[in-house]
Amino acid sequence: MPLSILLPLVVFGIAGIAVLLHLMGKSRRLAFETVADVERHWHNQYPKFWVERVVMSKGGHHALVDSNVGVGLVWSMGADAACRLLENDATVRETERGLTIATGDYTAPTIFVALPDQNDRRLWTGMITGEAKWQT
Amino acid sequence: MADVTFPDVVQLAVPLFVVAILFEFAWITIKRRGGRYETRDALTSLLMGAGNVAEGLLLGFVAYGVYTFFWQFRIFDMGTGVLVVALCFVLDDLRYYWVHRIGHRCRWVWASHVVHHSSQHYNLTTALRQTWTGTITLMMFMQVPLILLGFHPAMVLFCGGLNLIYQFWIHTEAIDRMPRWFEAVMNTPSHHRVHHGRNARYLDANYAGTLIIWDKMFGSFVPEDAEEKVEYGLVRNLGTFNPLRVATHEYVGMWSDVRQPGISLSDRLRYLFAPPGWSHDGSRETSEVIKADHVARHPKDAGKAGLPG
Repeated sequence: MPLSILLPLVVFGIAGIAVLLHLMGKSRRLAFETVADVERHWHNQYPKFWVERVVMSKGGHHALVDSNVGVGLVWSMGADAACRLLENDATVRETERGLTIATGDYTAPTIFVALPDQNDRRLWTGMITGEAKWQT
Repeated sequence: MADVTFPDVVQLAVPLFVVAILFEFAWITIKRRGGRYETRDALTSLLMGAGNVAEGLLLGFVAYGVYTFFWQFRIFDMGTGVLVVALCFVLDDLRYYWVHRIGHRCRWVWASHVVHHSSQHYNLTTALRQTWTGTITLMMFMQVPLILLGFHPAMVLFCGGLNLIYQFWIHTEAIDRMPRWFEAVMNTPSHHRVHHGRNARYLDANYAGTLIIWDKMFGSFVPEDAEEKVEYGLVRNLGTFNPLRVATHEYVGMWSDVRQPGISLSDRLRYLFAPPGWSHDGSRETSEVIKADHVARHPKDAGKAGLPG
């Protein structure tokens, strides 16, 4: 197939499908509704690490997990979820709207947690760094 | 070399891919069953597919160069008859089975193939989520025996393309089961859903391209169990939709493992070529370990298809 046909076909095909999905409401992010919901996603990835405490963000798109092997984060990846233990090389930076967590993991490099309330931001930062008590 | 040409069927099928995706999405929307779509996931899959086509345009000459080099040493010249094309297709499907199996059991090749398994969704866009780095796996050498047997390089590529097109339609949840005779011989949506499963029992199963008979012959067949829903994706799912990271993440991981201090040369080579999940200190899990752990936690599952007894 000549490139002059293939290229527009690919470009418009991809763009058209993406726009259609968006307009049909398929860009909605998963929101965790309950602690059990978060635990299910956590155990899906870490079946051997049990959950001790969970703190969910107000929008339900992120949750901080205190597990038997350390602190981890569960967050919505589109309509699904991803989880990572926050290892020692993870860093937390506070912004005006939330926290930017750099995981040091190439497969999940930075995660933005929307936390409009400054108290929540400080609490989450403290829970991640181990400087604050968990408030579930 | 005789002037033999076959069409690039994968490129010709691009319009069909677009129409079929739209049809599947419409079906799911109307019927309210048969799969899920998510915008960023689908967009990433489609961009990976476009990148795969681009890689073929840019680096396709490498594989073709290898084939034409070996063509001069062919033992026979099988010609281009219809039956020869059919025989070539079947033998190439056997070749695909082994390339695919190696792709799941050797990290060097898995680093390329992992892309195809990196979506948590299973729909027709997932079929197009393909590697950008296929050439550097050097798996094109697995087609050399066919060339030496006298199947023309263009025919071998044509059959490989047909195989890929066949595999497109089986990436769907909209089709439950095909007729029994078809399920017995051909790769189907049900068989291939198992292949994309991250459930312990579904790992490293159903490598077939077109004919499922290879899995049955070589002991890798696991049927879909209606009582255990397939969970799609990787054992450790990605936390990014960035196509560049999707394409390269396993290479980055390999590089990081290989260059760590204090391990032997043998360990460094294992980080490149041992099964995914291997680690020198046993801190990670191969599929065998995951299956054994699952059985230890769920003894009732012992001996089920895909799990140790």
